[in-house]
Amino acid sequence: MSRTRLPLFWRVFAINAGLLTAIAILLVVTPVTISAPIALAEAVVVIVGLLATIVVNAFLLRRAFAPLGRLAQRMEMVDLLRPGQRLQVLRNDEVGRVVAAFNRMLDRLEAERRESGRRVLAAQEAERVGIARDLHDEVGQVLTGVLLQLNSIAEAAPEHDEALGEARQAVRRALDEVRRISSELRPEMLEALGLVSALTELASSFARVTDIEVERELSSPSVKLPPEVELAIYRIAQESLTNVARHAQASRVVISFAAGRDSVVLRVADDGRGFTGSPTEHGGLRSMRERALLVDAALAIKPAPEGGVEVRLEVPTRQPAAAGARG
Amino acid sequence: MHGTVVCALTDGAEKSDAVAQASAISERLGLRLVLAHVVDGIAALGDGDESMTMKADRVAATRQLAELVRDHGLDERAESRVAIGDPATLVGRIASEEAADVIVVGARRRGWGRRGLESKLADELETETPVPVLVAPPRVRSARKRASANGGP
Repeated sequence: MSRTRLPLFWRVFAINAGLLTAIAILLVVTPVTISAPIALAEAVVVIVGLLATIVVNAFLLRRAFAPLGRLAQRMEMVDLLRPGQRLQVLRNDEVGRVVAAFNRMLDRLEAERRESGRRVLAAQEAERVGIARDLHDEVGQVLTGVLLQLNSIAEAAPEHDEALGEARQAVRRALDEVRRISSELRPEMLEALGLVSALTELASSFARVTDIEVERELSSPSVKLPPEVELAIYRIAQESLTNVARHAQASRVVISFAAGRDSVVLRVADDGRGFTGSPTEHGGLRSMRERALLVDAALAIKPAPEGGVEVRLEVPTRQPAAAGARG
Repeated sequence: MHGTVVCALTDGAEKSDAVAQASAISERLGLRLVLAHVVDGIAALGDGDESMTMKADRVAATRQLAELVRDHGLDERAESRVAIGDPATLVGRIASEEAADVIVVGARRRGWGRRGLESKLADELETETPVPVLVAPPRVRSARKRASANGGP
């Protein structure tokens, strides 16, 4: 409920008018005189009166303008990557009108950001698919050709077999790496077998590459999730595991995916060193927030009960009845 | 519904009433419930270690929170967090980390002759977090029950 207040202009006007009236009354009712030239005692009285007026004025104006300072602090708290945050209109004056205008501006900014984010991520995914295809079809084919050639050379010149064997090992490693990068760029398992299978493969691959123990608790949701939601969940799980490998110094990770009442919840928690204070919003975390934002999900990044960091993504499976239901 | 409600508990507030309110909201709307007990104090020494006092505060807060969870039958439903530092700053940070949709705080009735509720934490949260804050009113108790709850005869 908003409180009706005197407009800021009239409050400032009333404060100054009140002070001037008080000074005028004091001059009338007190036996103060100013001689020309001014005497020392009179100068002291004038200076003390002036200072008192300035202090009272500053105190009263500070109180009058305090809501604007608080409003500025509240405006600075709003983060567009956490949508739905709106300031409450508590007053029916200039501050209230500024808050209402600010909220309308946030509506527009969020809509534009959502749209531009959707376009950027779509372009990014298309580019990843293109790179994955090129890696698989072009680089992979070339490496396979090199491997076959090395085999032929080895058969023709058995005296170089040892050196050629090392070269073949290197080419095989390069081929494996190309396949791995290609599958990270384009999660074919997601398209072919669905989210749970893709998450299972992701967790297994992560454990294989990093030697970190992974505990999986993955269950299929009762409802079919849209492809963009599945992709967002997969990418956020992938980024979370990448962060664990890069920063956490963990020995164990739990990845779970389960259905809630009207939502599905992905949880990736490690037992690593965690973070002190707030986590730094680097590119990876921002990308996770962008993806969560696009599917109306809530992304929590917090200390895990296991001791490290927990990433919790909750995606609604039912669309909200009205926009802006959150916050 | 989906989402998260954070119930912020501090030493001064009416903890049990806030937990009851947050629990009711969480159950009715199907929201995840996080109980955050924040102790006013210095978070850590310069080297990141806790002093004996801080450790004692943390242990006491954890114990109180566990008691509240047990008293309200929330063992299966609520997540618990304990933090030491400036309460408003920490509650704002926890709300942000948990992607909270609403924060519930306890309150006292204003003194004799004054209407409404009093919650210093709710006032401070106005400039610490954009998450909406719900002030849980204290339940009306009889004088005998109040004395009993406060450990009196």
